[in-house]
Amino acid sequence: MSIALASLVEPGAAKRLLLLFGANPADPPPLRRGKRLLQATLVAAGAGAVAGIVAFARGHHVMGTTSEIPWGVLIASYVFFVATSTGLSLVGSLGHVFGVRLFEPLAKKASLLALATLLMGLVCIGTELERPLLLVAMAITSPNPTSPIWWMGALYGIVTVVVALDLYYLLAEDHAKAKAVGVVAVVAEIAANSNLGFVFGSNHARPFWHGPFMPVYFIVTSLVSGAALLLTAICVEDYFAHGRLRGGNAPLARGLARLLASLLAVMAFFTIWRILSGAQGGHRHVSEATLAFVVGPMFTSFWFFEVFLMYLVPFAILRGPMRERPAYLAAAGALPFAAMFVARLDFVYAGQMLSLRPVLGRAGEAIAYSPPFKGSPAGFLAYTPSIVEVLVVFGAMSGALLLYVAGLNVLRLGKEAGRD
Amino acid sequence: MPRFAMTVDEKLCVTCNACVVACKSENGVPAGAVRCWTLQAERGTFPNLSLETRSERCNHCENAPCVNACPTGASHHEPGGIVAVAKGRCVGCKACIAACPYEVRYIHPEGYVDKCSFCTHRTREGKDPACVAICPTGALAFGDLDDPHSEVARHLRTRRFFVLKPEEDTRPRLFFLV
Repeated sequence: MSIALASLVEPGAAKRLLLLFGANPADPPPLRRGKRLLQATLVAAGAGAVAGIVAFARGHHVMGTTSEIPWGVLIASYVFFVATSTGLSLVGSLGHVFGVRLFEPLAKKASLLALATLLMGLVCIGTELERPLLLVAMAITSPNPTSPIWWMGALYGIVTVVVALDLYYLLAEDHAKAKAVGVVAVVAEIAANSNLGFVFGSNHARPFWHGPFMPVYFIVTSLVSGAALLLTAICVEDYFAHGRLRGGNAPLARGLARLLASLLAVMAFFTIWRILSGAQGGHRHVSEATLAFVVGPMFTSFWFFEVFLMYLVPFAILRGPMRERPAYLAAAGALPFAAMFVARLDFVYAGQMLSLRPVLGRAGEAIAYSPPFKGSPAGFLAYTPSIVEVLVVFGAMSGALLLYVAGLNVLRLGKEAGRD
Repeated sequence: MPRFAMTVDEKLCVTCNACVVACKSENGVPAGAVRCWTLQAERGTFPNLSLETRSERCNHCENAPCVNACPTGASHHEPGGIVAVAKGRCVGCKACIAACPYEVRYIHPEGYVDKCSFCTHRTREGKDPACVAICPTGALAFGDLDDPHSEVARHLRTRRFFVLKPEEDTRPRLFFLV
């Protein structure tokens, strides 16, 4: 096995890795900028690791979560990372599983990125849990099959193995096995991500989350994240290495851009109907949380990040003349990807922002609660991520980037992956 | 098999908080957390005012969403229907907190999720939970629903009562007498 793995690694990989972080006067300016970014990323990853150790040692005392808001930015980050991983796997499978030739060069990079983001997602949730190692043991020895979270752990455990295998066979150029494992990966990813949506959608105590379409919504949003990140990766890598989009990557980037534009349109359709149906009335927790987004304290978060950066700017780029320029294409991918993180955090918070304990009278009617959205956050439960949580999140993002860059430079990704 | 339940008489509860203190003392509830609490709510406008008072805690639901949500089975039903947390199996994922419609759970400093247990260590010995034993007005009663001579069974036969959030179909075992 070790001989097989060694054959996937480029000769001189260790030296290449070290050179990645070292300054070289002969480097062209884009590469020098890239190296500085990597050095900063390494520091951020280190700080995140330290914060993770502190969180592991001290427990929930160092988190911003409370008994009223038990799920915070680390859960949102976990959802962000694993959903991105699903999207990367699914978009990457378009080439080597579904035979779309335009996307065949994406397969290895997508698989590598999928594994990197998945691992960082597991880091986030591992940090969030009070006893992560116990979960592994208990999930096997004391499983509860009625729990969507148990299924989430089981399915993403399977996904981790399958994605790693997929990457292995892709690197080994064993296309038959890569395709077979790729099919399993597609099924496993869809099952895992839709189940993740069900973790929220099945929770009838939190009406903002509750609903049968949450699994579908999660699949759509994961595809957006995956396509956006791949588009950004293709454009940015070429910029740092060569200062421009090279020949082979130009049609690939344009294909990804078209795919991303379509997926954004589908996601916008979901978002519009979620807002309209939520704001219309019905359950107080849904209407007030929705109105908090539209006209209340989450106004900036929703309109600037989830509308302007998620849809308006990318659509303007992807459907306009700017789509011919790589820097704008990279932005068209990076902006919705970044906005998706904010959307995940907004989603997790919005389901918990109203206390479940309004005073209920004898007939069950609420007889004392504050209507919170009338221009004031009063009545909304407050949540602020702690410095430990923030460092872990940035550390995880940095870790994913470092894993990906290390993989690009160490593994035999081959010519068609766009690396010299 | 008994079906344990508790009744809270809103006509007798004066929100003295003796139940809260007794519970904290009996169960070592950490600072900043409570397993039970009292509630006062005014209704109406002057001069037609009324005051609703009661003591609340975990509802020990028959169809407990927390039990369904727990990935390790740490949240489970004990014999008699009491919803308990096996702290050795709790990994602190807080899925039960997210799933509970009544916000009755809290995160214990030792890393597990905790809540009212109907004082199982007392009820196993035939004693009442600490809150029931301490209540100075007799507003709280605990017993077996299937024992027609128990106080809770008698109350539910003879008094009007309600449960919290019946629309959630959790089938609580905490009944409020009006």
